[in-house]
Amino acid sequence: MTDRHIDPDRETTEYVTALTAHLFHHRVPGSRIGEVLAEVEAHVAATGESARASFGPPEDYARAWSEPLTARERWRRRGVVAAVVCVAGPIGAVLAAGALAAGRGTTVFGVNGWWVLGVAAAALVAVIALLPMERVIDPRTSRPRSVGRVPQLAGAAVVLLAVVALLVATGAWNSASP
Amino acid sequence: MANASDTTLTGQWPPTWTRASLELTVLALVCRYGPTHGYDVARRLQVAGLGEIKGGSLYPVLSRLEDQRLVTSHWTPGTGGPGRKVVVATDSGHDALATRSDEWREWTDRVAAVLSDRDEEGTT
Repeated sequence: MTDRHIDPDRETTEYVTALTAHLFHHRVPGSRIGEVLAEVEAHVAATGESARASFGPPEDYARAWSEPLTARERWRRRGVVAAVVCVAGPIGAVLAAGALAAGRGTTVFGVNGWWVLGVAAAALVAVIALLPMERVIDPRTSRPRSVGRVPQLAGAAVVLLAVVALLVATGAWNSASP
Repeated sequence: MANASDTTLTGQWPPTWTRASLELTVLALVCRYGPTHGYDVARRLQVAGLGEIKGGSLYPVLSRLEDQRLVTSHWTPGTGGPGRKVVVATDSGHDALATRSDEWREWTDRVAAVLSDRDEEGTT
């Protein structure tokens, strides 16, 4: 029976969002995630039950789908991590150098510290935002579900906060303030 | 694939009993009534007196059966709502049902025999 005090569509949407995050956390393949989410939505629509009543807490239901990664999948993920570290590491070093230079009013290889900081921060945000994520395909439409970029955007936000922290730590924030 | 929590297995029977027989009973219903939907299988299990099987327990079981190629599934377009997933048993599924049903009967007969011996010992 549908709980008339709760908007069922909103409750289902919130449940699906939480379930998606937990499924990613448990390293469930994107192809499986799409299937699981579609089943939840279809079952709720057919029975009128709330998603939580039918499937339990999203963290528990996600755990039911976790399974050991294949060797091929493990190596693929290690490759992605290694590639990200190899690219993001040097960019991070340039970012730190830019922040120090900006704080001291000096340059990095002749380039103004603020320019270096800004370019490095933008590059780091771009790397994180474009990280390859598991594609989640809705089996009903064969189209990607719009769930894959939230972790990357969160990572980009963390980078920006780190930049601000660096600026404050190096005194560049004070020198830049009016 | 882990088992779903007991919150999605409700009824008068111990969850361990329900969980032990769920894959076989679900396969049996899909073989008998397929093509069908997950929630229809859950409804039939409840009508059969096996307790209320929630989606959180049912769909992982259906997925395991599909991984074993005992059932197949496809999505049908929905009318004014989400599409519906249809499951149907394969030939392997029908064969597996016959084999596993025999094995289950043998198992339950042995359990019953043990219980009977215990009853006799208790009354002596």
